[in-house]
Amino acid sequence: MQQLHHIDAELHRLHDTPDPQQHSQIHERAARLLPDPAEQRFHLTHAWVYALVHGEPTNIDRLETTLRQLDAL
Amino acid sequence: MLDHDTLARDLVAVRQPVGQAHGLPSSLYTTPEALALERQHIFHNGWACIGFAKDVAEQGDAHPIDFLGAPLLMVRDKSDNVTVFENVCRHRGMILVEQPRKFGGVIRCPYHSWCYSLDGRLRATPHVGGPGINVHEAVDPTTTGLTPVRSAVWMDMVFVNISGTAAPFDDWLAPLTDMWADFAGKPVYHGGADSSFTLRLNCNWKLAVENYCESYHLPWVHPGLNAYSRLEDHYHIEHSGAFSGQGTRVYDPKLSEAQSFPNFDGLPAKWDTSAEYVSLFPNVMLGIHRDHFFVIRLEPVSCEQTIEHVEIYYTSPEATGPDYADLRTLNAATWKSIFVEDIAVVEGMQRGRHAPHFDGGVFSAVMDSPTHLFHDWIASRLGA
Ligand code: FES
Ligand SMILES: [Fe+2]
Repeated sequence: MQQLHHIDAELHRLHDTPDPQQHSQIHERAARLLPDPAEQRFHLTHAWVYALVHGEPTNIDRLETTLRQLDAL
Repeated sequence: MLDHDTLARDLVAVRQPVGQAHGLPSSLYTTPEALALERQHIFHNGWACIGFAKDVAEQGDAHPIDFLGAPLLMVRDKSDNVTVFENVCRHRGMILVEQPRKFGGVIRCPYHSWCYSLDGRLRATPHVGGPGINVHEAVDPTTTGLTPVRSAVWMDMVFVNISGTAAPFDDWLAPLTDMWADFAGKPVYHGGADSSFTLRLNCNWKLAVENYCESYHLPWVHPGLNAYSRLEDHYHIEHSGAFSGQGTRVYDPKLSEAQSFPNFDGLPAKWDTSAEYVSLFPNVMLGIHRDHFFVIRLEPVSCEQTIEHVEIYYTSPEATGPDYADLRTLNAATWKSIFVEDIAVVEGMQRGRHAPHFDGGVFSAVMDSPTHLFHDWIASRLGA
């Protein structure tokens, strides 16, 4: 719970200075801390979008595979 | 107010032989409706220049452009192609890119984060099927990419045909590329920040073209040129329906005693002393010389305001380096002072267009034929 609060605060802070790579990593961390698949899909979607913005193919592939496994893609 | 019946009659008078013709009517210089008409018939239905490939110099660079109110986006993709799209998201129509910038990955719409690759493909539609569900049968990515705009690059200029109905670009340009076949396949290199400037004119864009077409004004408006380039050293350049301008037979730049720019390789002897200045209709004015090339791109801002974007190019990477920096600065300053001399006359003609009884004027059949050729082209494009 503590960790999730921390992640929320970080996302707020990042909103104004978007570093897509950092954005992507934080959402991926949030997804790992959440037990509910719906919440995981939500955060992994954001992790994926920011990975696309950053343009790093390995991360994009990995996230797309996970999203497909969760029926999110 | 633009009265269409009167306009149609006036345009017929423009299309007479130069000795009997009148110039374009003043309503085409002073009414906002005229620019709307030109936007459709001249700028959107044909080819027009919107910018320069050097403005997207590296892969991933994107440059938004407002082209007479049409939001466009010039992009250099990962295969080094310069392409133009409508700068608008296919979802709810949000403007995609507000400032020139570089993209490492996709272009993300700032509204609901739909993402497009640099070649225009729709790459992601987050939450389109509900939270965390990123696909939906109603949105087909293969038909929902960025809307491409027909475009082509020549001598670093980026041209578009918004309507998609103009002749193929190469056919449209052929009269000029034929005339300048000596320069075919010779790349040009932009001089950098010192070779780029803009001028704001309080006049209709057509007056800038008209003034550029002719050499008649040179001895009066540019007396500094008289010393080495007399009126009789100039010749008309006329290609009906495409371009007009003037050439000189005594090009001999003396910017510096110590240094001169390198010439294009392999030019015929004609270019030792010739230079040519051509208005390629509608909105670029070009100057070609054995040692440099410049473009003035006209951006109509309103019916009475125009921005000239001036870009100077050289013949080799060497000429764009530090050894030639002072000479480039001098060359840019020299051209700028000449273009600034023209401002008073084009702005004066703009104010003249408000005279209630001015009928578009008459032409010298000898000296003004390149200008008449431009007026005739405008009249034909507006349907006369
Ligand atoms: S308008 Fe672009 S994603 Fe909605
Ligand atoms: Fe001039």
